[in-house]
Amino acid sequence: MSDVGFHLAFWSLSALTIGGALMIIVSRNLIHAVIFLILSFIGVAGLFITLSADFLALVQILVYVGAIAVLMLFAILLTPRAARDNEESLMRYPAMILMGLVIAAGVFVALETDWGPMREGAIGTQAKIIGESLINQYVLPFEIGAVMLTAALVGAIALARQDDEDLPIHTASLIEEGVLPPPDGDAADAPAGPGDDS
Amino acid sequence: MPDAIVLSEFAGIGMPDWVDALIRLVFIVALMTLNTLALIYLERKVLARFQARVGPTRTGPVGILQSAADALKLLTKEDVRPHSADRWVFELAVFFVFVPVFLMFIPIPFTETWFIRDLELGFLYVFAVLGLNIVGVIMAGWGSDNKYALLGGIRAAAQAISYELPMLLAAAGVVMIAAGHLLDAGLVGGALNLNTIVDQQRTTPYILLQPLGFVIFMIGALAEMHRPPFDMPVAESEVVGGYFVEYSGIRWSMFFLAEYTGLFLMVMLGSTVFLGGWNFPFGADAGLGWQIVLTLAKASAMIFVLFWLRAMFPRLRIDQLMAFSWKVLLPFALLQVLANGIILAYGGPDWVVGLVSLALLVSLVALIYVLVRAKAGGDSIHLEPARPRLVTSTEVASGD
Amino acid sequence: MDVIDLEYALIIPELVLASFATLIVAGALIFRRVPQEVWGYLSAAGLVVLLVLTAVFYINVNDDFANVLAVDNYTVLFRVFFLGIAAFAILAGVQFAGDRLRHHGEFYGLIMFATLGMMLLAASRELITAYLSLELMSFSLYILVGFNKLNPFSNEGSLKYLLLGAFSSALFLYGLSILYGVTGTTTYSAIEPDGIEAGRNIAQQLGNFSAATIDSALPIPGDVRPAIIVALVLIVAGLGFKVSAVPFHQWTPDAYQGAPLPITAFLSAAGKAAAFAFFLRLFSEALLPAAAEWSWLIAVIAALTMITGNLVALRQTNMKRLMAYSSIGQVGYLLIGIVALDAGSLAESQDAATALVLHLLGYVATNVLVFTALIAFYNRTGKDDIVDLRGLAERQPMLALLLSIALFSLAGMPLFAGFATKFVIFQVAASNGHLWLAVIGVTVSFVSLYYYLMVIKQMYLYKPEGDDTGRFSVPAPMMGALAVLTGAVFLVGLYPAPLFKAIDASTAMLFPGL
Repeated sequence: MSDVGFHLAFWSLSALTIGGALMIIVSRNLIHAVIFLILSFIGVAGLFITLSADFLALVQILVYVGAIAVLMLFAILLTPRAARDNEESLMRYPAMILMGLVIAAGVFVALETDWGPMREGAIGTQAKIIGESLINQYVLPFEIGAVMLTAALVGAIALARQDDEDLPIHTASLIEEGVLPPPDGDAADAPAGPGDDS
Repeated sequence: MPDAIVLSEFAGIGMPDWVDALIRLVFIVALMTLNTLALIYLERKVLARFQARVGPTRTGPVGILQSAADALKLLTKEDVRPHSADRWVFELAVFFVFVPVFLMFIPIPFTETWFIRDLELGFLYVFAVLGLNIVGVIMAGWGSDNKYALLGGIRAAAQAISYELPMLLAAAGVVMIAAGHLLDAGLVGGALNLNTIVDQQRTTPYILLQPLGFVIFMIGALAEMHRPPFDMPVAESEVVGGYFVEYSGIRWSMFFLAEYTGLFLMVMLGSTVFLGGWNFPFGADAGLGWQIVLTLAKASAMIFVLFWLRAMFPRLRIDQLMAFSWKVLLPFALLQVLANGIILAYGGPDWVVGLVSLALLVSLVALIYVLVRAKAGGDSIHLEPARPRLVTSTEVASGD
Repeated sequence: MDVIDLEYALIIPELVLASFATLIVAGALIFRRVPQEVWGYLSAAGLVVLLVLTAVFYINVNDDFANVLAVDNYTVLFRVFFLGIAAFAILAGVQFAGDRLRHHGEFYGLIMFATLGMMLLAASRELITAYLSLELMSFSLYILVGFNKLNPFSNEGSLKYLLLGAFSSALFLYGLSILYGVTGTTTYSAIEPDGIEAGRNIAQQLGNFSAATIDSALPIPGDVRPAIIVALVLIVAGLGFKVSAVPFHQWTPDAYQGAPLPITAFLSAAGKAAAFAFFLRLFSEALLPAAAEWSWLIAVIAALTMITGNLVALRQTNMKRLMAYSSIGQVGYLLIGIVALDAGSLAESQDAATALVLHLLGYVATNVLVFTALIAFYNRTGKDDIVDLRGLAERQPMLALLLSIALFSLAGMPLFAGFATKFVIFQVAASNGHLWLAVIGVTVSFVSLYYYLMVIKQMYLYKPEGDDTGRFSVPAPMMGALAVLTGAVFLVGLYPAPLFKAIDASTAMLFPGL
């Protein structure tokens, strides 16, 4: 690998990653933000390649861009009024200062620390090593991950599924909670929920 | 395996690796433009024969210049952008669709020595880059500020992510077998390398060992590339042309270029992985000419099958399409992986793998037949569209 | 590649629980006509059988699974404990679920998935395993909190819990990755199983670093102290969210209030206990050599948590929110046990660990008692404000008595579990050099007595109000659960010695150098 090419790749990918990340924050449109997020993901994948972690890079693109970012786009497109701007917030400046401090601390630590394991050099064929670990010492975490995904899947379906019997119960429970007025009563004195700002 | 021919050897000038790769990629792009023109012409001709017509005849001898004329027309058309479209998303969407398709050609071996780069994880790479395509489609759909475009974009993305899973699992089945063969040969790793996969198919193409995998792969390829009968995202009668309805002129033709190139890529991948690419049946000794002819012949045969399918089947409904992927293809693909794992773990011979896969394929076809029969008989199978839900519970709760 | 001999016999309880949970979910889906109570009682019975078998077969095994999971007495203690809590939560929740929830198979199945995560969490001795177990537990709990899906409060609580939980998981994971970056390993401490490269683990690496800092004659590879501090801060923040320590506690009242009551009980008891079981194992097995770096941080958080939790509880009007802040206060006492790990000798550290686990068990038993009583009340009335408890002594004297016992125990009155366990934990704090924390703890305990008494006042000094003032009865299985829990509270309060010994034997496993 030529030295120039490596530096060129590193700096342009870093610019893509950081620039994308910055634009996510600056962008006031959620769709634009997700597109910048995708660019940032691609930049990170490229950086993984420069660290000769090519399996990780491909999985990063496959999972983060191909699945997660698309899922986010879907969620935004299918949610009513979700493409609107972010609202102004008074907490903006304190948050900015706090994040600045956090980033400064992170950079300081990253530069000052002696990262011992980094000196051990690149690993050869990662797909093989990862695969062997997953059926050997790390078989249990792998299985836990599988159980976790099963639980999440089962739960997501249970929560999102709309049964035909739900609607009457829904209305009844809302009346019971005091959110909806009783059929003959008045709506005015219904107490507001804890999340109700109005 | 011999190294790739380096272009600098031809030209007699030294150049860095990446310049070499870039030149090859540009070569592919140029070739694919011509390929697209040819494919469009052939598709029209083939479809016409299926429908007892003659197809284009006027432009040039037997209409052979029809595509060129269309291309010229498109290039000279006005490039319109809707006033209310999101400018950057609208214009960049084209590239998000266009660029990944060409990047996918990098690891594809045309012959033993003709490929752009020999990637260790080439197979995984193709699928990873395939995912980028979806983003472009959604961008096009959303950026056009047109409800049909948006519907088309969402349909395309839903379809693509649904069919990517069975495709990946079908690929995993092949990779498992390739890894087994490599282990037998005393090698470890490399089963995700497309060149190695082709190398393994000297005597037995993997379609014989994984017929179910091949079928799932082809169905997935149809869906990924929005080919009929899976063309709901671009269905004129439903979403007036889908996510590129607002595009015109050169941008529209870039979408088309991406679509046909993607089609060609998918059949190249299929012929490489399942049909033995350049290696079956003559092997590496046959010489470059035979190898390229074999590869392209296999790819052409598959493309002909795809055209045939287009002429044969009516379009599915979107919920049937999703149900087919999640409830039929995905379980069968998982079964295939499971069966391969069990057989290979106990050292079963190749013919057992092939037979089990064939049995699974037969049961898949039988299941589809039963489902279709049940539908035709008026029995309710669960392919009805879901009841629309427009009001969320919180909206009811807040009372507005 | 080194092939490790995987001893699946060691994790049979986990494997059985995972299969059982899946079977319950699938069974309820397939046999729709079977009444839902059957699935609930079946799940509870299965958990109890598993509990007994685990207790019989795994005591003093003292082995590990592929160096990622320890199967020692500590693990067994918590396996039994979590299985028991889950059984109580399911038993207490059967009627509630039948009246107010849908998808019962999934409901019981997810409780068991969460229990599985907790058991693995208490047992794991490797960072990746621990993180995934934590996520298994958290994901199941996020869903369970929102399981009353037609109730907007439940949705709100679940969403807040999910968002803050995901955020805290990210912080925690980042901390773990920095820790890995510094030490180059994810294993807690040194054990030499067959076939694994021994000698490289977090505790040893951290020990090397701190030894090198103290004795500059040792070669120090480079400065790692800032990175370790950042990693510890992130880990403590992430775990702080999970155990709801101040200032990471904001999700707690909303999640507790929104969740279906049996899940509130399960969340506040088992969820907290699991996070602490993991907290204790991580900080004693792996991070003890760096104790000087984290003890001050956790001490500050412990003090803040005790004070804030107990003071804010004074102003609550909803019983679930009151219990949420009360549990935050209890987390403060428990964190004292973590701080007290930083002691002069390993034996003293082990005393702190024992005190922590003892208080944890006593608190959880009491808390489950409170919530079981509240569920019995809620099943009848559908109300959960403090004023709704008015005149409970007239309507159901037994329930009022048991609830009062539980609340007195939480306040730390003698005779009950709360006194004995709190006494031990404050004593350990004082003897390990953290007297000021003990002083704060005793002070806020008196404050807590006030709000517990306010509840008891409503039950005993007022007449019942509203349309529904009649006496009511509590179903037999519920009464049985209440009786067992009350017995446990008295037993721990009056004669804690056997439990203390059992816990002492289990925490000894956390200090391999002892």
